[in-house]
Formats: sequence, C-alpha cells, structure tokens
Amino acid sequence: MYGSLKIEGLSKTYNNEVKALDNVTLEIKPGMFGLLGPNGAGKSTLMRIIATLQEPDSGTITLGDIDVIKQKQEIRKLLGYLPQEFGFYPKVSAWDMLDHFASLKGISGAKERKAVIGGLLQKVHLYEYRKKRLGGYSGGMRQRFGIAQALLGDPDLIIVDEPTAGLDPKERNHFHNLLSEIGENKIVILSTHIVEDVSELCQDMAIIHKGEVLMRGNPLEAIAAINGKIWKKLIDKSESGAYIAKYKVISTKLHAGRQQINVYSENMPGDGFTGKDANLEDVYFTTIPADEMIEGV
Amino acid sequence: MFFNVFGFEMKYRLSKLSTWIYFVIFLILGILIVNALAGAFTGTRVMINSEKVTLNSPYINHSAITIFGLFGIFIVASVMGFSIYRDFEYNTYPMFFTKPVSKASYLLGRYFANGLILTFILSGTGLGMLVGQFCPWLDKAAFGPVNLLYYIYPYLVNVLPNVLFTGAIFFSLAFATRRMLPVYIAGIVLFVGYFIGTALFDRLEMKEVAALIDPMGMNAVGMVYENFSVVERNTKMPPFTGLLLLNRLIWLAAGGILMLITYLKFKFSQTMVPGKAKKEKVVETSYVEIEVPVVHKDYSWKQNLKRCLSFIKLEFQEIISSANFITIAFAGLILLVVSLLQSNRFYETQVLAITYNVTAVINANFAMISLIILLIYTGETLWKAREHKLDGILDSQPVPNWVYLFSKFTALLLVQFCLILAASIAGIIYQVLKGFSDINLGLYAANLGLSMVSITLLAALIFLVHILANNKFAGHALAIGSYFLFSNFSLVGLEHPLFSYGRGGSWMYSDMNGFGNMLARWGSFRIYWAFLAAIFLVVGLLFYPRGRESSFRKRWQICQQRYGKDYKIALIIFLVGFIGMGSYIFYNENVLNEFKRTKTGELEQVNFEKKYQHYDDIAQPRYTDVYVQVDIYPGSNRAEVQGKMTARNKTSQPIDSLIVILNTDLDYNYFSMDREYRANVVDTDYGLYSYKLASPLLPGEDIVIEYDCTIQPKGYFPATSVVENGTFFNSMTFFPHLGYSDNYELSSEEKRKKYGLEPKLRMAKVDDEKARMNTYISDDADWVNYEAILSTSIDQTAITPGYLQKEWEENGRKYFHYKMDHPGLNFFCYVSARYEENHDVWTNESGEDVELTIYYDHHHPYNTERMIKALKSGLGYFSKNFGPYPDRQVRILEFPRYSSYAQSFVNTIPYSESIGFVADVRENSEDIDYPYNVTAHELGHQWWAHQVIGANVQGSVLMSEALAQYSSLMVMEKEYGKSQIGRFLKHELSSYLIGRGGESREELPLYLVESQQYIYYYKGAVIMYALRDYCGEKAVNSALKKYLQATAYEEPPYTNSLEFMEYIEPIVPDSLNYIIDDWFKKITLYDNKMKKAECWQEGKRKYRVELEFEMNKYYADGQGNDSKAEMNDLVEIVIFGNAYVKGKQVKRPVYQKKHRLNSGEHKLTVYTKRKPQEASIDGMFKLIDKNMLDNSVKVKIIDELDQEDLAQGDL
Repeated sequence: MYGSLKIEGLSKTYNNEVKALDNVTLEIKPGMFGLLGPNGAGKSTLMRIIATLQEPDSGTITLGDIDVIKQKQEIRKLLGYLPQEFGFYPKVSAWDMLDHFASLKGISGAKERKAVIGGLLQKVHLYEYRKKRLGGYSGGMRQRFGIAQALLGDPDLIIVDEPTAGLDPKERNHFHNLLSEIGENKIVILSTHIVEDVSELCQDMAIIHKGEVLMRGNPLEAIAAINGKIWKKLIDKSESGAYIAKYKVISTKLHAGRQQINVYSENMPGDGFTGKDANLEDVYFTTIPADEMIEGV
Repeated sequence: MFFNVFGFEMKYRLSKLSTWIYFVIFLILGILIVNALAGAFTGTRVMINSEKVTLNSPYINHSAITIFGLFGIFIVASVMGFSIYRDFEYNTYPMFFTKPVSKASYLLGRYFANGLILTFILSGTGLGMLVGQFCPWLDKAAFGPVNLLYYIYPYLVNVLPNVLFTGAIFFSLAFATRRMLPVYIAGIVLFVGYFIGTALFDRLEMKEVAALIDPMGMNAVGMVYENFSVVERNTKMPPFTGLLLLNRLIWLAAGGILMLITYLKFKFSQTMVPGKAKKEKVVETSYVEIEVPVVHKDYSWKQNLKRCLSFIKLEFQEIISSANFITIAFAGLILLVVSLLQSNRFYETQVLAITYNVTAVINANFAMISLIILLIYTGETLWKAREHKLDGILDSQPVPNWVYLFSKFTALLLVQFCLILAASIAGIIYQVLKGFSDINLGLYAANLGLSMVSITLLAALIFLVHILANNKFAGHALAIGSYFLFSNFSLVGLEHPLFSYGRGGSWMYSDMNGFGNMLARWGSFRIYWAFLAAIFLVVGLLFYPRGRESSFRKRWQICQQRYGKDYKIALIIFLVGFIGMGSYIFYNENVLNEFKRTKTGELEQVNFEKKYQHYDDIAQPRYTDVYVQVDIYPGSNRAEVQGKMTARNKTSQPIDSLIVILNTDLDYNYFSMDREYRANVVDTDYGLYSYKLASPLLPGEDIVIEYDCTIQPKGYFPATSVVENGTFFNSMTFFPHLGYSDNYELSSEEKRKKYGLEPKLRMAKVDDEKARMNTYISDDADWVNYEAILSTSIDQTAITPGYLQKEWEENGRKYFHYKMDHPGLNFFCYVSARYEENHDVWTNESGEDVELTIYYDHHHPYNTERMIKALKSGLGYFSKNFGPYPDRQVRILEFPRYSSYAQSFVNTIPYSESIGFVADVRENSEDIDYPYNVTAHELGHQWWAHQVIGANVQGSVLMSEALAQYSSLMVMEKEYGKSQIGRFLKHELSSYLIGRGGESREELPLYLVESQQYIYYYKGAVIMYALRDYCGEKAVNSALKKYLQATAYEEPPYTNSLEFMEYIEPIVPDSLNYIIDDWFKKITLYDNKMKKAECWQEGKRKYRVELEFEMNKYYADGQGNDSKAEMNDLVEIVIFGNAYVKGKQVKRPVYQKKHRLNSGEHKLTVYTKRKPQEASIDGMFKLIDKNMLDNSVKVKIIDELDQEDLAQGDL
C-alpha cells in the first residue's frame, strides 16, 4: 500500500574507513526480498539504516512519500524489525515483554493487545511458554520470539537481519514457514548469508558484497542464466591448487573425504568435469569475486 | 607458580591504560588539593583548623590521603573485583582453571598483585601533594619543612591495610557472585559504614566504639589528632598503638578470614552460573490456530503520555526491585537511624525529636544516598536496553524520544521521592517512639518537595552527561566529574553563586518563624537552575541516542534532523527564562547588595586600615545617654529606628572633629548633631564619616546625635534579624560608632603579612593602660542610661532591656516604653515575637521580689520550668555569695534558631530556640541538664559582665565567661550533685583539647586569654571548678565577692586579670602555691594514666585495692610544644562503685581522696568499704589532662569472699 522501497545512491563509510555501503541503489517491491551476501558485506548496515538506527553519508531511501532517513518516526510506525543481534530482559516473561512491545507499537487497547499477543505467540508456537522467563529460551525460541515481536502491530515493512544464523535445520525450517506466511502485499527484507533462505523464500533478491550490489533480480531467472555453465569434479585435496590456477573455480566443498570443485565455464571444460544443475548457491558464488572466495578455501 | 601468576597480573595491569589514568587522577587531585588549600584559585588560603597548621603537616597529609583513600575504595572495588570477574566476563575461566596452577598461587598471586597496583594508584595523592607544594606560585610560608615520612606513614597505617582488607572483601564477593555490581555495592556499604562510624564519633561516650567500627581507621586516627596541639599536628604522627593498632588488626584479620574462606570455597571446577537454575513453568495448552486480529494503532499525544506513564511504572519497579537498590537504600536507612539516635546532642543529652532536627538529619544523610542512587541508576536505566542488546528493537519503535527519556527520568525521580518519603516515615516513627507528639507533617512535606527540587536539577545534569557520553562507564565517570565541577566552581575562583549549578541560597526552618522569607533567594536560584535543567533535557532529547551512531558528526546530523520548530521554541523559552532569572539574581546579588569575592573583601579591609588607621588617635566623646525608638514591622522584615544619643567629652582636651562609622548594610536616612559641623570625609563605601565641629566640644560638654535608619535585608535576601515571628537584633548593628574601629581590620597574621601590613596584636596586652580605658564590649561608651520605645504588630510583644513604663495600642500596633533605672553597658537587644509567658517570682533576703518571666514560643513549653528553677537557684546562690542582684526582673526571650546561643543583656536574656528550649533532659536520668546550665551561666553574667566588666585587654573574658561558667557549675552542683559536674567537665576538657588544636595564633594561659572560646569557656570551667575543689567553696566565693565589690560599675581604667589574680592568690594555701602558676599563668597539661587496679575482698565491708598508675606534668608554649615539668601535686584518686538512685544503677565514688604525688610510676594500696568497679586517677576531670581516655580502668576482682566466708568472718 506504500508501493516500493526505493534506495538511491546510498553510501556509508565507518570511521576506520571501511566502506560499508558504496552507492547502493535498489528498488524493493512488496513481497519477500532476499539480501544475500557474506559476513561484513554491508547487509546489516543497510538494514539498520532502513530501520532508522544509522545515518548514511549520502543517498536517499523513500517508502511511498516517506523519507526514511529524515522522517524516522513515520517509518518506525510501519516497521517490524528483527536485528541480527538482539536480546531481551532475561527476567521478564515472553508475554510481558511482548505486551511492552505492543504498547510501544501503539496498540493502546489492553484487550486488543491481549488478542494480538496471544495470536502471535500461537503463530510462533511459543504460546505454551508464554510465562517462561526469556532468559531461559533456547536459540530457536528466541528467534521465533524475535519474529513475533517484529510482526506485532501488522507492520508494512518488515526487516529480518540474519534470522536463521545458528539455527538447526528443523528450527530453520520452522522459521521459513513463519516468514512465508507474511502477507504478500508487505515488503519483507530478509538479509542472510545462507543461500537456502533466499532460494526457499524469495521471489526477488540482491547479492551485496563489500557494500556494492553485485546482482539483482529474480532467483529463478538468475539460476536459469547460469544453467549449463556449471561443472563439477571430484579431486584430491592436493590437486586443488592446480585446478584453481587453470579454471574459474567458484566453490569447493568436501565430499566423502575428497574435494568437489565447481567451476564456471561457458563450455564443457573436459578434464573429467561433468555438468551440474545450477542452483542459487552457484549464482551466489559466481557473483562474488572468485579470488576472494578461494581465500576462504 | 605464585610468582608466575603475580608477574602475569602485574604485567596485565601495568599494560592497561586505566591503571595509569587512575594514578594520574590521584596525582592531579593531590596537586590540586595542595593548590586549593594554599589558595591558588581563590587567592585566599583555605583554613583547615588553623592557619598555623602547615599544609604539608602530618595532620593535613594524613587527612587528605585517607579521605582520597576513602573515595579510592571504588577503585579498589573495580580493580580487585575485576581481577576475578574478568575470567568470567571474558569466559577465560575454563582456560585458567584447567592450567596446573595451585589454588593458592592463583588467588594470592592475583590478590597481592592487584593490592600492589592499587597501592601504586592511591600513592598518587601523596605524590601529588608532595610535588604540588613546590608549585612556584604558592606561598612558601604555608608549608613547613618537607618530611617524606609524613607522606608515607598514612599509607602504612591506613591506606595499605584498607586496600588489603577492602580488597579481600571485593575479591571474595566477585568470586562468590561472579558479578561486578555486588562488588560496587559492597564498596558503597563500606563507604556508608565510615559515615556511620563518623556519626558515632561526634559523641564523646561513643568515641572508642566509633574508632573501632570504622573500617577505614580514619576515626581512630582522628581521635589521636583531636587532642594534638598545633605544633603536634605539624610535627607528630599518631603512634601506631592503642585503638589505632587494634582497629587495624581487627580489620586486617577480617580481611584475612575472608580470603581464607574464599580459598577454602574455591574450586577449579567452577561453572559459570553459581546456584541451581530454576525450573521454569511451562503452561500447557492445546494448540489452536488463532487469527491475529488486525489492530488499531494510536500514536496520539495522549496515547504517548499514557505510554510514558506505564513506562515510568515499569522502570520504577525495575529499579526498586533490584537487590542492589535495596542494599543501598537499606544502608542509607541504617545510616539514618544511627544518625537519628546519635546526633543532636549537647553534653550527651539528647535534643527533643523536633521535626526540623529530624528532617535535617534526613537531609544530611540522604543527600549522599540520593546522589549515589542517582549516579548509579541514571546509567543503569539509560543503558539497560543496550546491555541486553535490546536497543535495536526498542530504538526502532515508533515511540518519540521524550517518552523514553521522560519515563526514565521520572521513574528515577519517583524512586528518590519514595526514598525520602521512606526516610520521612522513619523520622516520624522515631518521633513517635521518642514520645514526641508535636509532629510537623507540613514540614516533612515541604522538606520532601524542596529536596525533590534539588534532586531534579541534579538528575537533569546527570542525564545530559550520560546521553552526551553515550556510554555507561564514560557516563558514570563524567557524571561524577561534572557533579563536582558544576557545584564547586567556587573552588576554582568562580565564586559567584550564579556559577554553582543547583546551588545558591539556603533555607532553615524555625518553629518560631517557619521558613521566614528564606525561600525567596533559594527559590530564585532554583528557578534559574530549573531553566538550565530544562535546557539540559531538551538538549538531551536532541541527542538522545537511538541506534548505533556514535561519532559526534553523525550524532550532530541526527540532532539537526530532530531540531524542529518545537525544539526551537522550547529552547528559546528556557533560554530567555534562564537569562531573565539570572539577571534578576544578578540584580539582587550585585546591584541591591554587594557581591564580594573573598579576595576583594580582604583588599577592602586592607585599604580601610591604610586609609583611616590614623584616626585611631583622635580622642572622641563617649555616649552617656541612649534613647531610641524602634518600630518593628515583622511582616515586612523591617525595622525603623530613630535614635537620639548623647555623648560627652570625657577627656581634658577640646574635641574638634567627630569620627562616625555607620553600618553600610543599613540605610541611614537622617543624621545630625546639635551643633554646627561640616563633613571632611564622607566615605560611603566603608561608612566612615569625619565631621569638623564649628565649635569644639569642650571637656565635660555634651553633643547630641540624632539619626534615622532602616533595618531591612535588600532584595530577596533572607531576613534573620527582623523576621515575621522572632525578631532579634542588637544595638551594635545600628548605633553610630564614635571613632575609628579596628574591628574592620584584617586580623589573620598570615594575611596581614601577605598584604604587607604591620603585625597586629589580637588583643592589647593585659597591662596596656590605653586599652584599659575601654571595656571589651564597647569603645565608645562607659556606663550609659537607656530608654526606648518599641512598637510592633498588634499580636506581638516587643522587649528591650529596662523596665516597662507603659504599654499601649496605636494605629493597630502595639507600643512599649522601656526605661532602665541604672546605667549599664552600651549593649542592648531588640526582640519581638508572639509569646507565651511563664511567670514566677523570686524573693531576696530583704523580702524584695524579683520578677521572673520566660517568654517562649507555643511550640516549646518543655524546659521553661527548668529555666525558672535555674534562675531561682542562681539568684539565690549568686546574690548570697557574690553580691545582691541589682535588678527587679529577669526575662528570658526565645528567638529563632538562626543563631544558637543565649546572650545576657541587663535583666534580659535572649535565648535561641535551638538550645535549652528543645533539650530532652529525661527525668530520673544522669542527663546533664544543659538548659539549667546555660540559664545559670547567662544569669551569672548579670554579675560577671554587667557589673564587673574587664578592660579591652587580654585576660578580661576570664572575669566574665570563666566566672559565669563557674557560677553555673556551682548551682548545678547543688542541684545535681558532684558526679554530674564530673561528666560535664569531661566534655569541657575534651572541647578544650580539640580547640587548642585549631589555635590560629598562640595559645595563652587562662589569665591572658584572648578571644579564645576553648580557653575561656572550657578550660575556664575546669580550672575554676578545680580551684573551688582544691581551695574550698567559701574561700573562692569570698574572693569573688571582694573582687566584685571593688570593681563593679567602675569607671575607666577598667579592671584586668592581674587585678583579679590579686584576689585569688591569697586564698590559695602555701602548700598549693603551684596552682596559681600552673593553672592560671602557664599552659599546663597533665597526663594521668591508670594502668592496673586489682581488688581483694578482705571483709564484709573491706576491699583492698592495689593501683598502678603513671602521671606526668607538662608545660606547653603557645604553639603547643611541651616539656616535662617536675611535679609534686595533689591529684585525686577516685574509685567508683555502683549505687542505686531511684532504682537505676549509677556510678558513684566509693573512694575519693587527693594524694600528693610526683611524676612517674606509682603503686598505691587503698581500702574501700563498698565493692569497687572502676579505678581512676583524676576521674572527675579536675585537671587538664592530655589524654582523658586512659584515666580509669575496670577494677579486676582477684578474690571475693563468698557468703559462707563472710558468715564465718562475722563469727
């Protein structure tokens, strides 16, 4: 109902001269938007700027006719935000904490608050733990509580920053279900370094690295674009250096004690390589500059 | 292994910046304190005790080093606590605990390494003070020779043991709780513990307890210094023996035990969270999918306000439910209770639980607690979310800054409100338990309100500092720093009260006069600061941190985004208010009144002396007749005076010019003389006028001076003399002074030197014949006739010395005409209030009545009967033994507690509400009846001052104050017995010893006493009573009677102490001749010490007591250097037993006899009939004793006969 979130020319440099964002321009339409990038890519900085917690050096962000940077109070009314790192007062129960947040969100009626909180806690499967102290919550419960908090007050702009980090597969799955239930007409920005989060949830995405948007588009289209150009081979660990020198290796991973290397090549490289069905991970690794990825290996 | 841990810890600490910062802070504080004391900032030296006490003396060093050490306790807490806590904070404990380190090495290595580091940090103060004195701009005269030991000793005796002991506490606590806050709280509790000790220390009877329970050992040191003379304070250090040693041993042992417990409890297999995790309740419900309803969101102003209120509740609950808050509040309440029970005593006798006394105790003790809570919890409440990483969520909520800020701010104020409310309730309970029923709830409410104003102002500053600092720890440090800076600008030379944030003006509540007009100035300053506080809060809102930005550039950017029209309007309004109020204050302080920096004031005094001192030689006429009309307007704090005073040329030369000094604080509307004159000098700055008479005033001729003046404070200044109810001022404020007066001259020896003035005697020599032409009360009159008409509002009584001639009403006002029937001193008082009256009559031997009236406030009927009793017995004893009472009336008039003394005028004694009127002398107790004592003392002045008045020379106050003390003691002895006198004299002796340590020039022997209260009151009382005890009551009284007959109402030259001694000397028997010299003419100190007393019962009423004691006598010079003297003196041995008076056990002598003894060790065997309990040498304190705490010991019963033996013995 506010249209899309428009980010234009957004730059931010920290004191230590690290460029966190470098002239970022993005348009984010309603729906689930994945912001993919390695740690330190600038995702959280971008998220925090949108969530009114940081100031860019230059650039603008608008949502409808709201200037996000200047009209902080206005954007906060529409916002649901789950920061990357967060905690709660450990001695407070989930219910009381959520009640406090509901009041902050402007939900003034006590009855209304009760209904909303009850509903949300059911939704995130925490209703039976509503009286438990938050200090006693496990990681997954905390994360679910976090999303409940972000969904309070029916926000139009929802930002979840690295919500699945540290969750086990079951919890992550549960979390994905939760996110997928959020209405389609809302802007949901999911920042993550986990490719599956995006491939499972998002119709639209961007890959961000060192503060720059390297890729932008629909995940399926992006996969289609590289399909047929990804090749794989199992090699001995000791050989990897030679392959890296020879091919455009996009990723390596261990497979049953040997190393599988994936390379990008327009044509079949031969040399024992076989074709591989491209997935979003390959898109990601193809996009991120290879030399840096290899360093990681 | 120990050395590995020790070495690692040392390296770690030395590599940390904080270690060096702490050290440098103490170093700078050390340098600053020396500079501040020496007056580098204000230009005038700050006096501690006496200007004779050098600024690098053991006394000053010891005090400063231990006081900074006391504050250093928080650094000890931080360093010691963190040395353990950091392993848990950084989760390094598993690494340490799995290393092959022994328990002892791990614990002791860290403990001692940090102890050493702390010693290094705290050594900064001493080092700073040592170095600071060499600052080239400081006056070298303020310092004595440098002795390194004076700097090291305080560390050895106090600081180091304190580091070890308190360190052990913090170390153990950090270990036991794995948290830092309890460590800090323990620091606060220890800090408060010191103040509890100090509250006890004010009581003579509790001094020994106070010296032991103070964990810092400061009271134990203070107790030794208290009895040091000035020279001793400059050269001697408290010996490491006795209570001081015991104190140190006790607390070091406590530390050792704690360390031992920690060692025993310490296990390397510690897990992070001590204690069992609580089982959480899980509420089982069947899972039903509920549709989350669409909500309605409300961001209206009204909703925000509601939200703010609910947050206040949350924050408030959060603070008051925290264990730490409860600990501090509890410590505060204990401090309050101890202070309530211990404070407000005179001579150990309690003061009634008057509400203003209780609120004063609350304010004194809770100011500190309030500040501590404010400082801690501002940080806690502002940064709590950040600590729990909840800031990201909270900061992005659609809640305006003001809701967050004001909810925290208000919650904290609410906490403070509740604390003071709790303290007030404790106060009320205390009043009720003491059986005091006149509880002034209104005052509690007002006090609460006024306290909250001050706290709010402070809170605004501290909030702003924290917000700007944007960090909890930096915030705490800066908050403490700015608190001291903002409220103490005067120490760095900005003396104007407009600079001292949150301060300015003061108020005092009086039962008689309520708040008077005192809230006008106080309130003006508070409004002024409130505007600034509002600006602080607005700026706080602009900078209120939301989100992560910490660079100032970004924060400024955010601030600019927020800065809109509303902020602008608010800032302008508050700024205009601030400047407006500031101008109003400036107008009142500097235009209507005169604001003087200390140094400016001194310079004016110097100029006055330089300019006009030569007038001192010009002979002047002297007043002979005084007629005044004083119209008192209590409602407007104003008195209109019309005076007509006659002065006579009593010299043999004509006088051709008149020097007049008028009080510059008053407005003289009219001044004239009854002969032609012209003004030669008109100096309105000093109020000095020189008039040339057209025709000289010939010897014996009179001149009549007429004047009008208005007495009224200017602007909003508090009125303390003419007030709504309880006006009290004296004639010296408005009588035109004839001739030059050296009262305006600078008197401090050091300052005179600094300004290049000739040294000046504090008082003329005892035999100065010129000075003997004046009394010490007045230098422009001898004995004057007096008549006055007073008027006041219709509901008040106005009183001045003299007899009421007529009383009438006119124009809705009351008029009183008073006239004295005989000449008296030129010193009168003016009193007006709504009074209750207690009348009585005393009849003298010739059957003439003397009318006795106590004029008192309806709040204070408590002790008027005691006063009447004292007047009656005083009149009886004094007129019988000294001479007849010259008047037909004695009136006691209560006045508000703006001053706390009583003062005798002819037949009239104004008496402050804060002393005798509110004493709580319990019946059937040993309480010293000080209302009785003070009343008798003032009555004594009707003989000793109003009949016999000494010349304006040394020694004269002996014949007024010391004799009034003596007179009072005599009637007290008759009424209450000798043992009460013994206890009374113990207090007097203690006050004398403390007083001589503060001597600013030279201690003088009693017969040459100058304006030295510690000598003429306290030593005077002891010596005069001893004289009577050694020479007999009759002999002393007959000498006094003869002296009075010879000197009463004499014309100049006035009597001096040499003449007085001529009457005393003959009554002293030859065998006691030494007492004239030793007690009156020299400064003599005994040191009597009872060492051992053992008792064997030898029969039913026969106890053999063997005593061992030591005695010495010393002569001291004026600076306090003493030298041993030969003695062969009479000293009283008193052995006390138990007696029962009205069912209560009391101490009474069972043996009391004077023995002639020489100096040194003695053994003595005496027999008593009743069972001895306590043996003493000079236990009734008749001699001036250097150390009065070692005069007695408990008698040890070695052998007691049982009933059977006794029965056999009887056979």
